[in-house]
Amino acid sequence: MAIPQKKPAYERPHLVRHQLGMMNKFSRVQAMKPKTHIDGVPISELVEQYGSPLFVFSQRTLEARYRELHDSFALRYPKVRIAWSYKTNYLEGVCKVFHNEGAWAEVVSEFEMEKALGHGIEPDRIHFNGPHKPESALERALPSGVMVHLDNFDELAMAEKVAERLGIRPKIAIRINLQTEAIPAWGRFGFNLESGQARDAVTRIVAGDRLELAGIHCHIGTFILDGEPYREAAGKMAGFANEIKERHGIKLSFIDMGGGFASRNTLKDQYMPGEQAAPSFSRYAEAIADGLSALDYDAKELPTLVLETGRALVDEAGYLVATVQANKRMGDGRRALVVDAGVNVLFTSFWYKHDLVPAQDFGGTPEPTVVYGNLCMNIDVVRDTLLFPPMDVGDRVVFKTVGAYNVTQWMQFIAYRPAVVMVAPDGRHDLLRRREDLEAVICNEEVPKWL
Amino acid sequence: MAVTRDLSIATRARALAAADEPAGPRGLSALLARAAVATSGELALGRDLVLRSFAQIFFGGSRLVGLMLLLATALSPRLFLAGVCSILVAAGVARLLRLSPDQIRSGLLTYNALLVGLGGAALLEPTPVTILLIVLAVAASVLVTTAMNSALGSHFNLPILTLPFLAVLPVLLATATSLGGRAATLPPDPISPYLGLPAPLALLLQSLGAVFFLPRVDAGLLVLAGLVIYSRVGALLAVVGFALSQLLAAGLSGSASELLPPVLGYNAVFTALAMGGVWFVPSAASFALAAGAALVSGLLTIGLTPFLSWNGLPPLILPFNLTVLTLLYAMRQRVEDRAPKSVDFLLGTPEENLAFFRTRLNRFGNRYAARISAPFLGRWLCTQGEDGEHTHKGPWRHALDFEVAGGDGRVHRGLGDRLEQYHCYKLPVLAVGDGTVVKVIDGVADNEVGEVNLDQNWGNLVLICHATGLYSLVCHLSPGTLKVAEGQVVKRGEVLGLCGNSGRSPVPHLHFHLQGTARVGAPTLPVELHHVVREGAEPELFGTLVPDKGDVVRNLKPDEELGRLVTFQYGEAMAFSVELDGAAPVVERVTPDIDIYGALLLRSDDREASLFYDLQESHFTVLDALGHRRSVLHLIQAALARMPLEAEGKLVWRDHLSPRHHRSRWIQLVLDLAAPFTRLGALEMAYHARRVQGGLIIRGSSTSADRQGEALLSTEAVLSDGLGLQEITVTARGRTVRARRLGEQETGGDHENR
Repeated sequence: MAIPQKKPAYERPHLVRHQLGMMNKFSRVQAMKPKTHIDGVPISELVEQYGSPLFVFSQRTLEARYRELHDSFALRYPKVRIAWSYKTNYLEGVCKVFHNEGAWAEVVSEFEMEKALGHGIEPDRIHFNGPHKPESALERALPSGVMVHLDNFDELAMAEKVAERLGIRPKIAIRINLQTEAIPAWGRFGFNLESGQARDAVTRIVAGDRLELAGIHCHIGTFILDGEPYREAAGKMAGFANEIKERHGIKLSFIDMGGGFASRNTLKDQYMPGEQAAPSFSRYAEAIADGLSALDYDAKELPTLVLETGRALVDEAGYLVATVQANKRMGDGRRALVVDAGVNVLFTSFWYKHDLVPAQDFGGTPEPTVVYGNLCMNIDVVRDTLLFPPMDVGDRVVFKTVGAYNVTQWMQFIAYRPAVVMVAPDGRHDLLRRREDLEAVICNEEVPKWL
Repeated sequence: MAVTRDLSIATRARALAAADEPAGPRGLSALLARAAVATSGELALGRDLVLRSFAQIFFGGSRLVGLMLLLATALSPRLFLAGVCSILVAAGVARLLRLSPDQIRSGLLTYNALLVGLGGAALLEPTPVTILLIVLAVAASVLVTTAMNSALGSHFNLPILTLPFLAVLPVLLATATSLGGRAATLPPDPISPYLGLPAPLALLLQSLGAVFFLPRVDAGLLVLAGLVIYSRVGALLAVVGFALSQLLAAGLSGSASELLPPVLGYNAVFTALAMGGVWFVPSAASFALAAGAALVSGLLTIGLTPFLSWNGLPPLILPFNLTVLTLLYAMRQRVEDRAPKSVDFLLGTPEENLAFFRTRLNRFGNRYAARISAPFLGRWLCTQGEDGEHTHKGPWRHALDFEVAGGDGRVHRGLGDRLEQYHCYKLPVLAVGDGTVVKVIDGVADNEVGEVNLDQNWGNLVLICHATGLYSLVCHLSPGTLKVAEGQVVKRGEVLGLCGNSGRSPVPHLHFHLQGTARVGAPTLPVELHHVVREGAEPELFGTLVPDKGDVVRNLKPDEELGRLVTFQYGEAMAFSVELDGAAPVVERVTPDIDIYGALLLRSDDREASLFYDLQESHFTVLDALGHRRSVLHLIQAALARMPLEAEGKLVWRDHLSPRHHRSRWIQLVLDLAAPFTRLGALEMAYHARRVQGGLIIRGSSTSADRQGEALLSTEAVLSDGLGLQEITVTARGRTVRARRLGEQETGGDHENR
C-alpha cells in the first residue's frame, strides 16, 4: 500500500475488528489499487478541467470491445453486423466511435430514430425495434428504408395501411419471442414462436403482400451469463428461417439475435464478481454460430447475423469520477462516505454492485463502508457496503464499469447532471456533453400567463 | 499477316476493339457502302469493312491504319479498285456462305482476298478472262481462309497469317497463264530517282510498298505512316528487321535478282514485328528474338527464291509465314514462359500488349487462373510464411500457417497449456475456391499442447482440386469435425471442418498450401491469396498477397448494397458528358454488354472503345480498357480500377494503371519506344473509399509525384445509391477531365457525336 502523500485528516479513535487477509475459498481479499489515470490522462486533470462529478469514456476501450465482439463472431459466421443499441448510450460521440467502426444503429423509439438520423446515419442502416411505433413513426421510417421490426399484429396492420397509403412495399422484420433455458423468458415483445403466432405473422405478411419480410429478430433476455440459451435460441431461429424459406420461398437477409450479453459488472444478487462470471464474447459467438449452422442456406445467401449488443460494449469504457463530501460514522459503527454523485446520475447502482476505487494513493485500514450520494432522499445509496479505505474530504473516487444506461437513464433531479468527456487513445480529451446549468433545465419551462 | 482470335486462352481479359455500326456514309465510301448493300443484299459493310481489312495487314490496327494502307494502294488506281472490289466481293461471298458476321466485320475473312486481288491485278494484264479469274480467286480465298483458320486455329492454336494468299495466288497466276493471260511487269518506282533519298531509306520504303505490289517510295511512306500509327515499337522492330536483312543481302551480293531486296525487306519487317511485339511482349528479349527471326526469314527468302520463282516472281511473303509459325509453335514448348513472355491474352498492339502485361503482373499476380481466398472467416494471424523457420522448407516451402490473435496480440488465453485456450481452436476452416474434394483424412486425434504426431504428420486434412494442376490443402483439422467427403463438389467459402491440432502440430493452427497433384505430401506451389485485406493501422486490400509472418489477414466482407452501385444493367445505355478543362462538353454513350465468351464489358457507342470488367460478390475490377484514347472508358478505368464491395471499415488499396492515356500524346510517342527496355510503364495508384450520405466516393492518386509535389494522376468517382456511377474526375498534369452521367431526360435531344 502506498504511503500517503499528505497528512491524514483527524478522526476520532474507534475500534475496528481485525480482519487479517480475510481468507475465502478463492483467495485473500484483493488489495485495492487506486485508479489515478484513464488511458494515461490523470483523473485530477480531467476533474480540474471539467468539474466533479464527471463521466469519462475511454475511446480505446470502446474500440477494443467493439473489435473483440466483431472478431469473435466474424471468426465463426461469414456475415456479421453490429447495430449499436442507442438506448444503452446515445451520446453522439459514443455512437460515432461505433459507427466509425462500422456499426449500424438500433433504435427503439421515434426520438432515437431522429437522434440517429441527426448523427448522419443513413436510414437504411437503422433497425427500429420496440413495442411503441406510432403511425407517425411508421410513416417516416417505412418509406425511408429504416428496417422496422414489427412487434404485434396491430402494428403489422398499421404498417400495411401506411404502405398502401404511400404506395410502397417496404422491407420489414418481425420480432419473435421464444422459450429458452434463460430465466425469466421474455414474452412481452414480439410474436411467440412456440404457440405458432410467429408463423401466423409471416403468413399474414405474405398474404397481405404489402410488406416484404427481410428478417427475424429475437432477444432472449438481458445480462445472460451463459452461452447455452443463445445456442438454443439461434437453433430455433435457424429452424424458423428454414421453415419460412421452405413454405414461402422467402430468403431472409438477416437474423437478429438481439443483445443481452453480460458486461463485467456484478449484479446485486450475484456471488461471483462480474469479471469472472461474464462469459467472453467468443463463448456467445460459438453458441450462436453453432445454433445458426442449422440454416439450410447456400454459403453465399446466408442471412446476415445482426447483434444489438449494448451493455457489453460500452459498460467497461465508462467511469464516473466523484468527490468525497463528508465522512460519517453510522449508528451501527459502519463508516459512511458521502460523495457528490447520487443515484440520479448513477442510476445503475440500483442493480449493480459497482466497482469503486479511490482516484489517488491512499492509506489507512479498509473497513466496511456505505456510500451515499448527494440527494436529500433516503434511497440515495450508491453502494450498500464495501471494504473501503478512509478518505479525506475532497478526495476523489472512481466508479468503474458505468458506461451502459447511466447517461441515458440518469435524471435531472435535485442537482444538475454532470459533464461527460471522452479520452482518446492518444491522450486528448474533450466534452461529449456539457454540464447542465440553469438554462438547460428551465429552457422548456413555461409559466401560465395568469400567474 | 493478321490476327486470329486465340480462343483457348484462359485470360479473356481483353479483346480487340469491337466493330461499331457504320457511322454514316460519306463521299466515295458511301458509294462503296451502297455497292456492298447491293452485293450482299444485307446491311452495308461499307467503309469500315474496307478499312478494317486493310488494317488486318498490321495485325488488326485501327481504321486510321487501314486508311493509310488504302491510300498507299490509291497511288495506282487499278490496284485501288482491285483492292476495294476484292474486299467487297469477298465479304459478299462470306455473307452468302453464312460465315460469322463478327469475323466478316473484323476483316479477318477478307484481308487475304484483298491481297489476292491486289496480286492478281498487279501481276496480270487486265483482260476479261483474267478479271473473271481474279474474281474467282478472291472468292476462293474466302473459303481457303476460313478452312485454314479452323484447321490451324483449333488444332495448333496458330494464326493463319497470309497462308491463304500464298495458296491461292500461285494457282491464280498459273491458271491465268494457261488460259492465255499475260504477266504484267511492275512499273519501276517513278519517284525515287528524283528524290535523292539515301539508298537504304529508299529501299526500306520500297520494301514496305512492295507489300501491296507497289515497290515505290511514296507507297512505302504511306505504309510506314500506317505502321507508326499502329505502333512505335513496331516501327522500331521493322527498322531493326530491315537493317539485318539488308546486311544479309549485302553479304550475299551479286546472286540476287533485282526484286530480291524488297522481298527480303518486307519479310524481315513483318517477321520482326510479329515476333518482337505482337505475339511476344516487347522487351529486350523479344527484340533479340525478333532479330533472330528476321535473319532466319532472310535466309529463307534467299534460299527459297531459286525453287519457288514463277516467271521471275520471288517467294513473296512465304518466308515470313514459315518463320513465324514455326518459331511460335516452338516457343510454346518452353517450360517457363519468360524472357520473352508470350502474349497469352488477346492480342493488341505491341504497346497495348506491354502495358497490359505490366499492369496485369502488378494487379493480378501471375500464377493461377483460379482465384484463391483465405481459408477462414474473420482475421487470422500468419504465424509461419513461405520459407518459414519451422517446417516450410524444401519442397514444402510455399506454405502458410495461421492462428488467431486476441486483442492483446497473444494466440491463446491463460497459460496456453490447454487446446481450448487457443483462439483458433475449433474455428471453421473454409474452401479457398470452388472445386472438388479429392482427399479427406479424418480420425487423427488432436495432440496435447506441445506434442507432435510424426507418424501422421499432416493430421486430418482436406485436399481440393480447383483446376488442372491446382490443388489446395488444409490440414491439422480437429477429428470428427470434417464436413465434406471425397468426390464432393464444394463452393468457395464452404465449411470443410474445424481447426484442430492433429498431425505435426504442437499448438492448434491451420496449415494451408497449394500443390500441383492429388497426392498428400506433394511439393507445394507458390502460394498467393486473392482479394484479401491485410489489417493494420490502415487496413489494405490486396489483389494478390503472399502473407508474411506477423501479417493479420482476412477476406473481404461482401456487401450487396455496394455491389448494386457497380451492377451495370445489360443493354441499358448510360450517357456521359465529358468535359476537358472547361472545353465544350462531348456526350458519349456507353452500353453494358456481355461478349460471346461471357466476359462483361462496357462498350462505347460513340467511340471505338470497350472496357472489360469483372464483378464478383466481394469486388469489382476493371480488367482493361481498350480503344479510342479520348473515350470516357479510360476515365472509368482510372477512377474505378478496383473497388472492394465492403461497407465496413476504412480500406485503402493500391492498383496499377497504364499511364498511356493520361500523358500528352507526343511524350507518349517517345516513351513508347523506350518502354520495352525500361521499367517505365505501370503507374502505382493509392485509392480509398468514403461513404457519404446517399452514396460512395472513391478517390485515388498516384504514389509518385511530379516536381511540384502534385500527384501525377488523381481521380475521383462518385457513385450514388440507386443510380450507380454518377461522376468521374481525372486530373493529370494539371489538366482535369470531368465526366458527368446524364439523367434520362438530358440524353434525349441534345447529344452530338464527337
